[in-house]
Amino acid sequence: MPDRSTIESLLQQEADRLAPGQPEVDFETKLDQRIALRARRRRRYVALAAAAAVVLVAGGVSAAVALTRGPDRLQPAAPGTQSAAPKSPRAAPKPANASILKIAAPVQVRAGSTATVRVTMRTHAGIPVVTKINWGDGTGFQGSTAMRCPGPQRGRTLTMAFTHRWTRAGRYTVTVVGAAACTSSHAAPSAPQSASVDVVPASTNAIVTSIDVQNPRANIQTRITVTAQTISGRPIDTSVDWGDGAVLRDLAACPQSISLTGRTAHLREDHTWKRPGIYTIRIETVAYCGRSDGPSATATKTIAVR
Amino acid sequence: MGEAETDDRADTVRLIRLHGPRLQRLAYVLVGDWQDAEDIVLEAFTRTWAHRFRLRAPEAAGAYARRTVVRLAWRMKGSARSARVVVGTPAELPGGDGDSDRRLDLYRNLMDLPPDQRTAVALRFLEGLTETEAAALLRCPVGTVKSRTARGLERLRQLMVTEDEDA
Repeated sequence: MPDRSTIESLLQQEADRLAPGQPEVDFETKLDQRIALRARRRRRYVALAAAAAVVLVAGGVSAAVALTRGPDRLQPAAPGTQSAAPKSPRAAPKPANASILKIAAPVQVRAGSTATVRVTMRTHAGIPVVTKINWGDGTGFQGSTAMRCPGPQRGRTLTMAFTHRWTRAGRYTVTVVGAAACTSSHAAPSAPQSASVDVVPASTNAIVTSIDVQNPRANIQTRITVTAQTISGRPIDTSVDWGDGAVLRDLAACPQSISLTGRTAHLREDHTWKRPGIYTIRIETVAYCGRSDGPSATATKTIAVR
Repeated sequence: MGEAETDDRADTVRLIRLHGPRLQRLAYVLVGDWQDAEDIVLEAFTRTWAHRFRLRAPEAAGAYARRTVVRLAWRMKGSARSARVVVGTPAELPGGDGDSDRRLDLYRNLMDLPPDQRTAVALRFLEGLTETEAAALLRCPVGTVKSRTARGLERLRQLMVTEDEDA
């Protein structure tokens, strides 16, 4: 039976050793990449700040010129007369037009199950509303999502969630059109935006619900986050084809060192694309070590590496 | 590249080589996942690099990186955002010798401790900090570190006794 001093000595023996299975990580290279990315972002912010400063200074100079022209320029204009001073372009009212910023749809969904699609919109004036949705299967929505208008509203950004159930497998394109409601200014509808959804057979065990790639740039390590769902809840293996010839893992080998488990699981991996371009990422999920947990489907996402 | 930049680079490389594997192991013990541990350590080194002008002394930079690892690990553990598990690395597959089995049991039992006790034990014995240093890092009284360490060691002992009996 170990006593406390034995455990203390066991722990102290571990002080100068690596943990079992501890992987070697090249922190130097990864830190260099992070530092380069931060420097690039900082240069961009500095450029933006400089541009903003130029605009502010230009505005201040024009105001100073107006003041030096004499006190009469500061007097209110007599009734019936119009000021000859041209209007500043900044004074022009912003259009109330709505714009769709993002449509977050699941990459894959099982036939017959409910899928949630989130639409993020922005307006300069009025409340963003969705006026038309085409689910791609012959059904849709037309009208307005605004229930009531308490009066003219200021512009805002809003995310709205919609649910739909596709009954047959296939690839569907969801198209959304929005507009600004509760505004007195002219509001034209937004440009239509669309997203694709792969509807897979209901018996598919593992599906990929989201593939998130943040700001991919050439020669900079990029993080990809994949969310997968399984019916069985048992571990699955995941293979990622990055689209540039590199493949993350050979699924034929067993046992794999890392897999996903649980009904909803996340895989996070890093990859560096060497050249800018359009790449199609393919995510394949199979039951762990070839078990038969039902069929799987391959998910794809096309990204632009700058 | 300027002289100051070369010095910064050399300091950073020295810091990584001196503390990288130890911090990676500490983060792994705190969060239980090598990928998360790597993320935490990389973020800690990035923050240390960002504050390098305030952390000229090597020991100050190392202490800052260690403190950042502990905080990030606690935050990540609290959010419980990772559902990824390690099924088994090649080094952990059955068939190892007795020493590796004993070490694996030790780490597994260590990760079964409550987070506060695990942090105290890891800082005291794996990182080799004194009770005062651990208390300063955790921003708690020395007595708290002592009690957490004692409870953690007692719990470890119980876990190892149970395993011996099961075997």
